[in-house]
Amino acid sequence: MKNEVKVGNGAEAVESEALEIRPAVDVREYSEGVVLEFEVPGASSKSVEVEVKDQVLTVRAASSLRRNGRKVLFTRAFQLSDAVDIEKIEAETKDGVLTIRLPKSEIARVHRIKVN
Amino acid sequence: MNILARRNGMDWDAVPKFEEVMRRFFNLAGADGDFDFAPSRLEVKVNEKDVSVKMAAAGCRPEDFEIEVVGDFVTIRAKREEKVEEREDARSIIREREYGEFEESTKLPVMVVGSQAKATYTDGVLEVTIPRETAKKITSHVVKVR
Repeated sequence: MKNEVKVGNGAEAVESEALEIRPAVDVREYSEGVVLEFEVPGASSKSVEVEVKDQVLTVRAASSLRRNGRKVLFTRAFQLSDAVDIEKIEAETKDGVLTIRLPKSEIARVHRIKVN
Repeated sequence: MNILARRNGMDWDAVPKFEEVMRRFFNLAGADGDFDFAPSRLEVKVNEKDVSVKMAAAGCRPEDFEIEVVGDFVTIRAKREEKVEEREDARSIIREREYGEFEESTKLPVMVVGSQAKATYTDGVLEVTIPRETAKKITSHVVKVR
């Protein structure tokens, strides 16, 4: 079953000679889900595309920065497990940091059970 | 249950970079980071009337920067503090971003008027724009030899 969710206005058209760079990321897990923070300086919410297809999360962010005369395109992909509630993924961009929240699906959450 | 799945039980990334595959295949040494955009890279562009100096520094605030222009030498100092994690249920899975203080300097290829420099911080990029010094009139004087 293919799940396809797109968040963001989509990456601006980038010439074929764009330089693809893998952005640094911090990933933290909480009880309700996982938060990823990508460093994408020069990218705004208009130039960021977040897609989930076949359980693979792909991030593409076109930057205003150039390296050796070529436009920079930040791109990175992560494999997601079934534990993610794909429909509730959220993404926001601020000051060149793209934050993506991956909520855990209900069955994946840890339920602590008290023993009487 | 893990939300992110490792590929082949080892890598987090779903699609490895070609260079990474080749590096591993040939077992090449050298810690050339995959993250080309270290926070402290400067990009200088000389325009007709001014010089633009850009530094990639995502996740900072305007007050985190110190900019100094002395003659044709520009120094930019920046700091980026990691958010203090207060939640007990937090667990760090991947940590690649750099924090702390960093400084970058460069000599500009043209003379500038430092006192008129302006700086903006947009989408994680600091841009310092400095007007160029106007060219002084060149006078030529022919000297006759007696």
